[in-house]
Amino acid sequence: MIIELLHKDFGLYRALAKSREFWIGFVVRMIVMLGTISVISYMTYWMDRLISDHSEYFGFNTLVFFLAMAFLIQIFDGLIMARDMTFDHVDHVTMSPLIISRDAIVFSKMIFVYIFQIVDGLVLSTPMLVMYGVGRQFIPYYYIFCALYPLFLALISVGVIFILVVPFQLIHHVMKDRYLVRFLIMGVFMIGVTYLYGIGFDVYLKMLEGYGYEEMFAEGFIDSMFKLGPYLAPFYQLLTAICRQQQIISGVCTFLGTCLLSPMVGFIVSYFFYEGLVRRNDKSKVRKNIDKPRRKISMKGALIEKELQQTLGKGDNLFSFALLLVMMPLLMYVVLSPMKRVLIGNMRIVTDMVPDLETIVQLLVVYIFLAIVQMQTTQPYSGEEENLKTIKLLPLKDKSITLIKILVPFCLTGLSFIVSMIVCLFTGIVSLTSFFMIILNGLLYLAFIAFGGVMVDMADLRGKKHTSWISFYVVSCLYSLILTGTNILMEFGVVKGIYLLAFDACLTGALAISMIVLYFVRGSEYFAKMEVSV
Amino acid sequence: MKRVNISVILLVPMAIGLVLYFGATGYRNSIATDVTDIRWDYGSTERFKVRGDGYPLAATGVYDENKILDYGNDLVWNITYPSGTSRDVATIGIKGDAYYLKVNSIGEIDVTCSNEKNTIERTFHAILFDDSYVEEGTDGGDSTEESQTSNLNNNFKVVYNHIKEDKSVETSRNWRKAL
Repeated sequence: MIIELLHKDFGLYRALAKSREFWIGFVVRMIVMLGTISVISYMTYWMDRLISDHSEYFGFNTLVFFLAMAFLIQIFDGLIMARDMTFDHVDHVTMSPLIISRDAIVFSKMIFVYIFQIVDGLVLSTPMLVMYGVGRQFIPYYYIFCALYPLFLALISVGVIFILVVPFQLIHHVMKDRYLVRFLIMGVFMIGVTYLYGIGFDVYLKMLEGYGYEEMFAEGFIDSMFKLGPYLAPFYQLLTAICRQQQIISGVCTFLGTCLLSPMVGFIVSYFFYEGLVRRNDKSKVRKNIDKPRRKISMKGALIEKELQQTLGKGDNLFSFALLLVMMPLLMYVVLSPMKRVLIGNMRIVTDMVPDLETIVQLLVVYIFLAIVQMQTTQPYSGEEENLKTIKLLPLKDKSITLIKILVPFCLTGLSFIVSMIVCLFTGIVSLTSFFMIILNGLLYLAFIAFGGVMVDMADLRGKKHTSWISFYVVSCLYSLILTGTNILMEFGVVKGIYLLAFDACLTGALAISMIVLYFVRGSEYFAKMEVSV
Repeated sequence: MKRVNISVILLVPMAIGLVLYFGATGYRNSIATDVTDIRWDYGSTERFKVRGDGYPLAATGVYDENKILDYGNDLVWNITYPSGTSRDVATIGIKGDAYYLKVNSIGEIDVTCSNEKNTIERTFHAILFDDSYVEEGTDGGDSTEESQTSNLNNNFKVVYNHIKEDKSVETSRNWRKAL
């Protein structure tokens, strides 16, 4: 039965695999994974070299600390997945008439999450262990341990995840209708994540620049990691046994014991609470659908509200709302600030030769951030699925429907972008001239991708699948890269400063206008020819 | 927000930073250079007599003239005090653009000249003396500065053939004019 249940869960992935979006997403995931492995390997190697020159024990404890951090990230990732899977309303409605024991359901979900946890472990923890071993020329058996480590670690993490998934679901359930509290919690969470990312990004750039130990780490940071190390069980005990060959039996036993105990406890906790939590979830969904009072609202207003709900997430999508309003300005700041330091520090001679390099790089970051956020906030027609039929039957002009679909995410992303740039202006990262020119260029680029993305999607839905709306965003990112390269080359010519940014604005503006013209000329035709999936 | 999108948004700046750094470094290496050597007229050991006004310190940075000199290559002077030596024996001062060594009392120091980036440095040993220090055991007949010897501590004895006081040397600070 467990095999059949796993087959069902993986079947969803197989169904997705037929779509073009899946493969683009798959390639992006692969690139993200390889990129993460490269960054972690590089940072581990350099940090280890710097810290170990200071003290060998510091290097060891730092490894333990970062393995524990990777474990926490892994748990967070798994927790979201486990909650979505375990307490999925549709899944439960489908499964409830079948005679499947509760333990089989919980166990199959644990195995499913376990497999993804192994992948997480291979991406996050194994590169750290391998690079630590490479720096010390450990024997080959050590690398076998590195490969096997995620298999054992995933046992611990899956246990912890299925212990935590119960309170996580309870909190999620309680917070469901308290939007302000949820927003505050997610806002604080995103600030924390962005702050930590800012520290990591700063260290990463300092490593590239070849900073020394004292300049790299704040006083007391390594000391605190050193003191924290022994408390990070079972990582400290296991690595003491493997790397230092001390307390081997106790270290290995502690780790293996945790590997056995954790999934058992996780299983028992989830088993006892599964039924109650799923039923509560179902009830709330039904109540939400039936009891909700309906306000009278105009057709256009309703459509705008629908788009806003999809973008801002009245349901489970609050993550994007928090991201849009909180994360983007902060992220812009923590990314552009150290980049500016690099350019006016070690690279000053380059900025003498290419005076607008700083603005060009800022513009590139803005373009790529805008493309990703806009892609996230837009709900294309192809994402409407069976609702597309209702949308096509709405007693509204087709152009108005499409315009609402384009303008709602455009306005939200644009607002977040302007707030981000204001933050950059007041923190001195961009000059006043750059500020206005980046805003102009950014909004034109945003118009281009907002109109272009929806038009490509509509063209796609006519039945001739040549491309996908996601590939349009990939192409628009490539455009921004080509534009950056062109700008740098133009810096060696006569076009510089504000003229360069004006040239960018003209080029991007021309693209945006072409997409808007396409919307006016062919929008109705594309809308009429969109095929409704049944 | 999908997790993969968050990962992309976090990884993209790192990729840009990497390309930016290596691209800019490659370009910088093709057009600019650092100081590859430091030229001066000091020997490995020099002596300086205690006096009120300072001794001008002079050195020239050597680099590939076909390239422009990168930032952070101005020459700076520092003193390293051997253990047991007071920090008051000598100090480095700056008058305008020129560095000078102010000798306050007898002792031994290491004087180092390096570029600001500290990619290259050169050091000479300096013995600081005054009139009261004359080598023990010499024939006593020669008391001129050129042949004066000094026995500053029990384990160091050196003979000086010349003294560099106010020697006319090229000033160090304006050498970036090549830019």
